Amino acid sequence: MTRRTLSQHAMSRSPVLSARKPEGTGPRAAAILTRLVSSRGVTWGGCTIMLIALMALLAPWVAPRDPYASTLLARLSPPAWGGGSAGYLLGSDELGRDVLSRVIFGTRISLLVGLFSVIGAGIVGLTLGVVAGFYGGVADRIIMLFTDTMMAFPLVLLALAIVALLGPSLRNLVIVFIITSWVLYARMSRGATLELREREFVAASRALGASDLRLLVRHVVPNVLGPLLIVASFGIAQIITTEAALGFLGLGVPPPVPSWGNMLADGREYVDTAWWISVFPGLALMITAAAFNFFGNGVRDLTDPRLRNVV
Amino acid sequence: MKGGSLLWRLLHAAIVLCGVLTVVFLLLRLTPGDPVLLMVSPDAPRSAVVALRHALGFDQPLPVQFADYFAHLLRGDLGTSLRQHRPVSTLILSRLPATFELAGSGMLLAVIVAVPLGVFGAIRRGSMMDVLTRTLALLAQSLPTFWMGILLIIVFAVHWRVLPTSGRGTVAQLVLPSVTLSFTMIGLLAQVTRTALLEVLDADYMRTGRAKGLSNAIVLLRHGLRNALIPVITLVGLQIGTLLGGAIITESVFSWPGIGLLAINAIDQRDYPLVQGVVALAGVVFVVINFLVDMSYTYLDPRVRYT
Amino acid sequence: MNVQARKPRRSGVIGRRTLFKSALLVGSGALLARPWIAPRRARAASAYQSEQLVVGISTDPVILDTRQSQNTTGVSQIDHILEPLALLNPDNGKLVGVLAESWEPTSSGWRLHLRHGVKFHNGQELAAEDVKYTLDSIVDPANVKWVQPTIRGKMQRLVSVQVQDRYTCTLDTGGFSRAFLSTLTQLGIVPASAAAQGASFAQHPIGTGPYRYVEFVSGSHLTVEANPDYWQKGLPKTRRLTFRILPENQTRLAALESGEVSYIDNVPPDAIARIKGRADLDVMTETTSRFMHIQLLNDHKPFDNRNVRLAVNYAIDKYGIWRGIMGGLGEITTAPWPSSMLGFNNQLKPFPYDPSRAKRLLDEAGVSSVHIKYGGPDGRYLNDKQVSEAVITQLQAVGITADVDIREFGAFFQNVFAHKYDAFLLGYSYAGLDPDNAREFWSSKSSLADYKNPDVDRLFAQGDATSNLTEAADIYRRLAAIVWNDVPYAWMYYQPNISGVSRRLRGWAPRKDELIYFTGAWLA
Repeated sequence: MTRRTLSQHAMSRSPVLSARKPEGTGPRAAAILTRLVSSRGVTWGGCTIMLIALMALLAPWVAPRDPYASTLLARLSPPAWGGGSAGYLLGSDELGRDVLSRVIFGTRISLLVGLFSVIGAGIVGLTLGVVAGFYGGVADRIIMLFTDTMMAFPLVLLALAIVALLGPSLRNLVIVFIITSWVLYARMSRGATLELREREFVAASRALGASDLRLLVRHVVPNVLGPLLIVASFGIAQIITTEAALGFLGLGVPPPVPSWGNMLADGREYVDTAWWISVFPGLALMITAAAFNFFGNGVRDLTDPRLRNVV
Repeated sequence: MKGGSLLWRLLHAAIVLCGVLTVVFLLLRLTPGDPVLLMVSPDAPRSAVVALRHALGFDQPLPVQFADYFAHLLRGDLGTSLRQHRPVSTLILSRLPATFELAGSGMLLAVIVAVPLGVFGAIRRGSMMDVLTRTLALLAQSLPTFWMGILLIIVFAVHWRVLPTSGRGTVAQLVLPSVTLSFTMIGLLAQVTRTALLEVLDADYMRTGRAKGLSNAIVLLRHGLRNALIPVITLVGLQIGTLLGGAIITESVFSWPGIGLLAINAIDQRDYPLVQGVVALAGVVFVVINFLVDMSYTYLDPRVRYT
Repeated sequence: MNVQARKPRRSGVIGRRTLFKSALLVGSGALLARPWIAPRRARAASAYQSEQLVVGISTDPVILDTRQSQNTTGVSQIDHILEPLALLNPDNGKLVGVLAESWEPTSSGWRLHLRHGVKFHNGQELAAEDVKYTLDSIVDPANVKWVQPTIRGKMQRLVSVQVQDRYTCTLDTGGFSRAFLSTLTQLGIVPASAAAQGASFAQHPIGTGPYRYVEFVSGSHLTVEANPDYWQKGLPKTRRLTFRILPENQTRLAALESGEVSYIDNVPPDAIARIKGRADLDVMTETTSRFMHIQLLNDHKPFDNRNVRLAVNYAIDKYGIWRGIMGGLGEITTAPWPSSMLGFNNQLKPFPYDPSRAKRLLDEAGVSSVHIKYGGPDGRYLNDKQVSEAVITQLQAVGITADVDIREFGAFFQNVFAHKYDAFLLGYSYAGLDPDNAREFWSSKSSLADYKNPDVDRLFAQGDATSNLTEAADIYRRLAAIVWNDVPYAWMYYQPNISGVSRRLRGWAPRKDELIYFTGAWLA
């Protein structure tokens, strides 16, 4: 067995854990409670995610006003219950646009960026990781060198540089996120593939004459997808927050598009005078990110205990 | 055998570093953006711009520029900043201590808060407190850093006037930025500590220890913590990336004169040599940290040594 | 976790835990050794009205040398260390002598008479050689790597500098140029001995100014100390002046409110109420000569048609923007340059907000709905992003939709140069408060909007060739009318200069030319 780096260990299997699953871990009540919380994480997280997705789809019908319509006379008006008018339920921003409508439309940007980035990164990572894990040898060495180079890269700087140089747009944002996050999926897929490779059913299928591709597609990939989903869930949460951060630095989706990042960036000028401009998109951001985090957390706790040590 | 793999490690690291530098060079040169034009204001005549571009060597073909760049690099010359007209290495070195200070205290704060939380969660596993702390940790992970920073300034520096708003120099000025930065790490760190300790608590040698008559606490400290530290240290090493990202934003909000702020401005201004210098530095730091983490891992877990 | 069994220690080996603990101790010790708050200085009897003045500024001067600096807003700070030959009185556009006491025109340029007895910070007396070196170093091709191209361009006309005697020199510009003197107001004079240092002079600049360089950390602060041998007696009034660089609006505002700084620049209009609500703070405003406008590319569709450009002027609600986003501060532009400048034309009128008229004009021109590329900067001018967004919405209302690109000024400006936009937001200022400064904007050779009018070119040349101010005023009045009615731009408003000050600050007032000087300022 070749000597691997610490990170490689952590990425594939934890050597600390003994080979068999833990049994009789603590009082039964605690175990039941934990399971409940985890599954609650899955249910609550999952429901919130679906709600957000629905809002994104039905935004034009759900939102009370046009998110781009600006009425300069009505700028900076507070939420309806705090002295403002019912026309702007959550208040209006510095250009007189409705905060509620912009928050609702913001779900589209966040979900679009998050989903496409994760899917893209997942596809790239999965392909490279499975190939590396399954075939080993030179291909593995090369791909690992590649991933190591990417991991040594200060990814945030890379993201900043690419967006700054290519120009801020939805497409470029997705590209940047794919480039900076595929490594994790590759490592995970490789680890899982390595483990699966040794299993009996692979040898059996081989003996039956199955081709490599068939093996990969029908047996390896479906088993790798599970853990990937969990990582993807956390990944979306991180991407959504990073998009907001890039927006704060002026490198997100260009204004006047209603993305939460843009709203937070605009709102930072008015944190004390017009708090509603940044509080509501900030809340929406937190809830969405938390939903994905809780969902991923819950699924992880429920399914494979071995994955608890995988970062 | 150990020496041989050490050599391979170093070679590996060197190759990775070269790869990083090459990618950055290409990235900056190939994407649209002419730094010379950035250095002029609306009324500069074209002839002056052309003359400057020639003096800086930007009208040379790409391979020539690349070779030139690497030749300088090997001599330790990182070039001259296009904006500040000073050597890149001097600029970077002058800003490094600030970022180290911020990152160090941020990391320290995160560890001080997160590790006990994680240990507590593992010991009192399943209790209400455990669930609560885990939920809070997850929420902390979902919070945008810059928002947190601005809110902290408004509350502590403007309304209550207990802390200064920005800048660097006194310990008081360090508080808000490091608290803000630590938030990026607390959530994940607490979680990982907890799960790592849980794994260890269930392991065989723990039960052996208990069977031998040692109290839970001693078993925990002597055996549990040490082994639980492994994934935690892994995380700390891998989170350098997050830390740097958080540092960039935090430095921006608090006007903290570190590498992050330097990098942002350099990228905005297409100050090629400076961006390359900062990335090179970050690459070196990553590779070194990774290396150190590997070495410490060898020390901590004897099983790995003979793998 | 309360009992710690003592482990028998192997000799010579330090346990991991001990190592960790000692590292922690050392680390925290080092940290705590720093002062918790800045130490107080002992007060000594002094000739200055106040010991210390700390101000917050939004932009970083970057390089402390006017020959190299790419940051035009950083000139104010540099001017405390290096002084120009003359400065402009922003109220009437007249030149006031600083290092040059008097001057007269020659057939091909200007002759300058320097002030006697002015000393550099190194004790050397100012002489004509220093002026010669400063100007020569700018046009010297050997220095092209570090001299700022804009300044180099301004000095292009300079053929030679001749030294007549210790205090007199003649500038030859190849033909008389009335406006050349005004470009000298932006140039800080450096000693001839700086020749040995080249670009690195900026790291420890030596000038004749009221303050001496102490320390500069780019991105953090610039500290300067009073020059006891300053040629203007009684100045400066404060011993130590620190500029704290705070680009973030909220951070800068918070610094003023917490008392860390006694002055801040670029207060966003929406924050004015917050500052005025405090008894110890105040807001001071002044209208500058920087006019904000939307440039329209004159050489291709759709803006090559004057009526389309006119329609844009009617479509933009500059009054709404001025009142709403600028807080009603500054002024709507009524002419290409303000009344304090030579040749101001008071017969011109701003275009009213009339979207239906705009639509009609567009229909007549055959462009009832059109798609353009719009660009705008972020963070360069006051609320520039908001202004862009408002403009885009207003254009949309009359059928002009846009691909929007709003980004950091440097990158935005690159795209402007590369003609990537059909319309873009910009703010020009008259740095020398002279109409000739606008030659770069509207001459056929250099207009960023590709505006070409040979009459305008001719009038510019005439205005600069005469030393008779009345004649020049007449020429420029005619020029103003032509440019205004050609509507190469959508004219909007003059940007206000909004500063937040502590009520303890004395001896400071805002200027129309955006320069910020603290030479006569002190804290009561």
